[in-house]
Amino acid sequence: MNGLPPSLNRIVTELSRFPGIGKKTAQRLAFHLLDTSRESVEELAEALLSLKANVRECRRCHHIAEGELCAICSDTRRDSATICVVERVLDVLIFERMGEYKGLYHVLGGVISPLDGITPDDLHISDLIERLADVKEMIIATHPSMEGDTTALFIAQQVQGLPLKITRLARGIPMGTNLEFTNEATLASAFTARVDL
Amino acid sequence: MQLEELYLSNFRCYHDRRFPFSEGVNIIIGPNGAGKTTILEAIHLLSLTRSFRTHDDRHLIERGNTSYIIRGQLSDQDNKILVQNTFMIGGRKQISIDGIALSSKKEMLGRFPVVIMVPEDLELARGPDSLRRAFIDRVLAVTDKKYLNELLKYRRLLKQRNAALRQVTARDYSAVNIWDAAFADSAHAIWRIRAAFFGEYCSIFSSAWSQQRPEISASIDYIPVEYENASAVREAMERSVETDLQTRRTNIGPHRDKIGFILDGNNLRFYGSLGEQKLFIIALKIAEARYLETILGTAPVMLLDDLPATLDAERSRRVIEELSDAYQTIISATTTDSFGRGWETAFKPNRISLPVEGEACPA
Ligand SMILES: [Zn+2]
Repeated sequence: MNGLPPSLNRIVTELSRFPGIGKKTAQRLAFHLLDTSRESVEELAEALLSLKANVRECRRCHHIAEGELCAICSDTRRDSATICVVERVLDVLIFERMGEYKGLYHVLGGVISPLDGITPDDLHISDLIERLADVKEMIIATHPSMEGDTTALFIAQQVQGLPLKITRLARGIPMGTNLEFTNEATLASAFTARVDL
Repeated sequence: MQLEELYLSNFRCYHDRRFPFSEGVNIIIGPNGAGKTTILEAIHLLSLTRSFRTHDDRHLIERGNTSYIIRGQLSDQDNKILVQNTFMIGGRKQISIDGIALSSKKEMLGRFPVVIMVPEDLELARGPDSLRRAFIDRVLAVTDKKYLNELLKYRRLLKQRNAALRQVTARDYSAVNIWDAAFADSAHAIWRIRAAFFGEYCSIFSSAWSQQRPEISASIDYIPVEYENASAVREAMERSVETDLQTRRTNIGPHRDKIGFILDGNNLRFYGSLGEQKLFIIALKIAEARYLETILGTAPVMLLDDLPATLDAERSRRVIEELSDAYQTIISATTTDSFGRGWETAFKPNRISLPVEGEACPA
């Protein structure tokens, strides 16, 4: 076809499946691999296989884990009486980067959105409720969208009557932002959630 | 606000073209398909960030090109501003004012108000309530940012709730029910703004109408839905559950509002003559201009597409006279014959003759 050996064509095809990698970049990467030492390539191949073999969903919180439980769930220093409910794995990483939070997480795997065919049954809500027995505070940290709000409301309804404190992230004006540049929706919710001084 | 000059680049049939406008009356003259409406379309797009003929910006690009530019030099008393819209295939529409990019299209609304009247507006008088709701939604979107945000939210909530209604299998209402609180809040907010709007708009309309035909009474009939608060809306929704589940859509809410145009005690939609319907639309548009001016503090530019198709000679002259007195008025027409003799001496219009360079400009 293009005069390249089949093995090279095969790796180019596989690499161009990656997001953001076009045919040209894939060829460049393939030639780079050809120039790389055998040990390094074996290292890479092994890393790829191990990723697939070892990384899975945490049995308890649905965060990414290596083994049955994720690093956060298996860390005994964390406060198991607090659970922060988030939409996606990426949200866990964002909260962890903040470094303030010492409790556990629960990843829902999305938000309720009938338009996208996502019903409460498609989310990890029932096993969240099972985890709440020893929990004192549940922070619902779904995104401040109408779907995020509705999902938060749904969860709150489901756990009604359980003796725990349910909180929702406050919304407000981002730090260092001039009021003039704050959009009306943000300003309105910051105004509604104003605090005593 | 006044449009001093319009520049079009790769916009439909206009490859690279400037059109100067003057205050008072401007007339764009040319045969059908010469590109008259395209000029009004570009001005409308500058004002409202979208065309009134298509929702797809790709259709606006001149054939063989990949982007268009529209630029308008505007003035308001001593202030001059330059508004620019650019769109490139595969990209987003960029809007800038005096070279500073706006972060959202919403920011443009209300900065350069226009009122457009096209022959199809007759449907406002003859067609279903949805057209009249769309009309007031558009006026409010320009004058009230809070309404616009609420409306966008409401439409999404309605879609989600209707999707949930379609998916419900058993008699389990909870998947639908979870949308109700937000839905009721939003519905109530929209009703409140609409009721206040109609109060003000109707009185402006009445005075605009009485200048046209004082001997007949005309009014806009909107009965505000009387829910005292959002929880009353929720109660109404709960009473409507069975119907909602049967019809698989939401039956309570501002998306079902009825807006009637009433002439001499009768609904114009069923009883009005063509002439009366046209006159009603004229008064409605004059009222729109006055309302925009009152709320925004800026006079809109009037865009009258194919005016002779809507009005006879006598009426056209009176409308032009009335409008150009207060607003910059841009009219398109295939001929000015129907305006009667001497109208050029009376109005001294700025004339734009099409086609340019013998090109055709189909929409
Ligand atoms: Zn875990």
